Amino acid sequence: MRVVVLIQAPRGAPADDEPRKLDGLPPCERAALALASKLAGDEGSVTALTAGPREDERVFAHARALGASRCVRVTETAVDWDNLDSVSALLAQALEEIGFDVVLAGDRSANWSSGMTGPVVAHRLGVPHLRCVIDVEHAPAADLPLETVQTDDENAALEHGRAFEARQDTIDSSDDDGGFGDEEPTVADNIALRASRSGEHRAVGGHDDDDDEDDGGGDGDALSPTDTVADDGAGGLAHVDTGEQALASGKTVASMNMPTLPPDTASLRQHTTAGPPLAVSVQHGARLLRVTLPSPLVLTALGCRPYEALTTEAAAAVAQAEPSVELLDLSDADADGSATSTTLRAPKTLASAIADVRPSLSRIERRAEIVADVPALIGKLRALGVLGPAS
Amino acid sequence: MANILVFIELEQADTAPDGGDGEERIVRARASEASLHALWVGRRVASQLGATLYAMLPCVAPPCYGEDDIIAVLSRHGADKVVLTTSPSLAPPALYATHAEATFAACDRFPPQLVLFPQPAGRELGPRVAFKLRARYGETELCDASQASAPPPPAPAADAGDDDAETSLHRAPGAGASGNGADAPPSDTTTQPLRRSTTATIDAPRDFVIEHDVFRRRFLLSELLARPQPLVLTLHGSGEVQTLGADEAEVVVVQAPSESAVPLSVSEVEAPELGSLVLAKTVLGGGTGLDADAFARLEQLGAALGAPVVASEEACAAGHAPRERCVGFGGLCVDADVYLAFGIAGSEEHLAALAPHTRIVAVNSDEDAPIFEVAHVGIVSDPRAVIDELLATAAPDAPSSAAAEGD
Repeated sequence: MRVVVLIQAPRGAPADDEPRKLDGLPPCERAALALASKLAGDEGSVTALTAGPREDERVFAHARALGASRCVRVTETAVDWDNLDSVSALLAQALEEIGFDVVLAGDRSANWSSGMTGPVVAHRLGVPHLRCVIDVEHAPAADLPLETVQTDDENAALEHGRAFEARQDTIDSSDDDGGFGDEEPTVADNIALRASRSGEHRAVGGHDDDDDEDDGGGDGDALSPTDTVADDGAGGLAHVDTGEQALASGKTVASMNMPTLPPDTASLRQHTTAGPPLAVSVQHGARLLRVTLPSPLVLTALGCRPYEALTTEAAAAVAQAEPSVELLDLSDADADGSATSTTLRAPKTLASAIADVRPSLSRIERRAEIVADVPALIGKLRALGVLGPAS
Repeated sequence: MANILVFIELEQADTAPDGGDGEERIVRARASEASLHALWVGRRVASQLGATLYAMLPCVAPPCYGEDDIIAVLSRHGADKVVLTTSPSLAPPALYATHAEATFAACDRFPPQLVLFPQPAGRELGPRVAFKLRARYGETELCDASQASAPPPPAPAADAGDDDAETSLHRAPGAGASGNGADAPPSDTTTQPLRRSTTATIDAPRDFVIEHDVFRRRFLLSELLARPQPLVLTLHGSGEVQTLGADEAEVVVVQAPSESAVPLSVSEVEAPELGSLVLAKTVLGGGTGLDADAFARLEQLGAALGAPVVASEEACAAGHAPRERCVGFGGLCVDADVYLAFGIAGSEEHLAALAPHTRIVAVNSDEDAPIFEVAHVGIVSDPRAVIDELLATAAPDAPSSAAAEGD
């Protein structure tokens, strides 16, 4: 299994707008490397990938000490390295160049961003991602519910249409006898009933006004897009003539795994072939989930768990290692300039928004609300739910 | 005019067969606390801007109707409209692989100026939704400008926009407060004025402040929303929730996206061996302000609070705590809701390992310690004494606490 770990040179909060470089490897990236080594095993490869100008190669030394067998730096002179837009495009292109089954990244890179790099690179690659990853392991293929996946789009749409019609029947009949029978009515029934009682049979939101916006993608139009259940009377939902539309949408949907992207953010390649499945443990709020899904994948690791510490020897190696770093220059390979062209526009993070809204900024000098004594602190802790209510 | 979308994350929902054929299912769904908080925040922003507030409700099946059905709950918490999307793949938890298409569909249908996500769904979905919308993205908190800990600067030259917002805020009921001409208010006159007047008279603040943890800067939401780029925010945790009384939002059914093509199975695991730090809501940290004895009492406090104990790099180096408890570069990160930092000065490497949503409670005898710049609550006091007092409160019966206080 080819595992690539995205590494960013850690930076701290800017002092006078100039980000400070920090020493060492942030916990999340360290966790990403630990998981990468585990996943790659003996036969796989772990590649540490970074993009940016040559600054501090010590991150690569750390990466090597933690199991990376290959270190690659993407170079490109005409890129704004603080711009997620261009960096993610470059990383995605480099990943295609290197080849990968799994991409691991830190869930947050030294608190610098909002953890967008992993998901945005995933979006550019057209692969799913999972955040807050605690652990990952290979899973037997039998763990995947394959039969639900291959649902034929046309059938799915038709089934859905039937479901709507069936519900419409229920509504119609319940209107007749004024009751709902034994089963609890659905909200949809209820809404329809409300609508019929008020004599207002109006579709909320027209069908026609979104035709222009439709990108013809994965959210395609197998059913009319905004059928409210409060559509007008008998004709309302019966027009769900899905066959033709489903076929039309099937053409765009069936060939790919992921939602269609608008052309200007289109991923470099749609990964249509599913690789070996992985079981990924993710923290989801107060719960721990085990999600099994096929590679290729982008995972962002959360360093909340003690992974194998750097051994003394490895730490010593880090101190003096001069890692050999391959330089990957994509400026030639990229003849049409698509990777760095301005049409690929990633969102700005709030961090980058700061430059735009400078007039309204105020610096937070000290934010802590200083309490006078311990009883006041205890009150604050109760408010935060750390301490139970006073008995 | 503008649309504000709030993603509603459901707690694990029961499904029940609806009708005899056993195929049609309905679902008893409950929105998470964080979702309702996000909805309330969205309600206030919408009232301030005169925007329409949509609650995005992805559901495996149509929700059941009852006394407190999810639609009524969402209406009561401020939604103007509920965008219902049903698909078998939309079972909680909200992951990118399962919920992205439904979210994209809602965003396509009602192009938003602002999308609010609750945690933890927002972490999964927010960045890529922002990417798709070419929006700015942040994981942050929205505070009332008037309640921010320091007064925000006067918004320069943005008064035209503000006045506009205020006008729409106080617009007469029924005059299209939502501002969306395509969606004229329904003729149900018994509920409509109630909702319009209720939402129009809620105490909407003049503006909101976004605080950026890393940059220690705050800026105004109106400034960001005045720009053409939409804004996607994942709000930290849960918080204030208010209801507006009985209400009925319109339900818009956005067509269920085609079933997710990502084959996927999700199960909940209870894996204690993964380390208590992973799911901890509170984490205690000790620094060089503590000696080995104080660390022992911190452990007791941790046991009493059910909170794991970690340490700063310096404390580990001094031998007060084991190396594998180190938080910071080369060590662990903290993702808890609350971090109690005792005697931790707050080096950048340490603070960078704390999640942006973690609220820091700092106890330090040095009032100039940098941790007070980022903490939410602080007390300038000897951390050892504070540990003893907290221990006396949290575990009054602990025999060792008396001995500890004797120190």
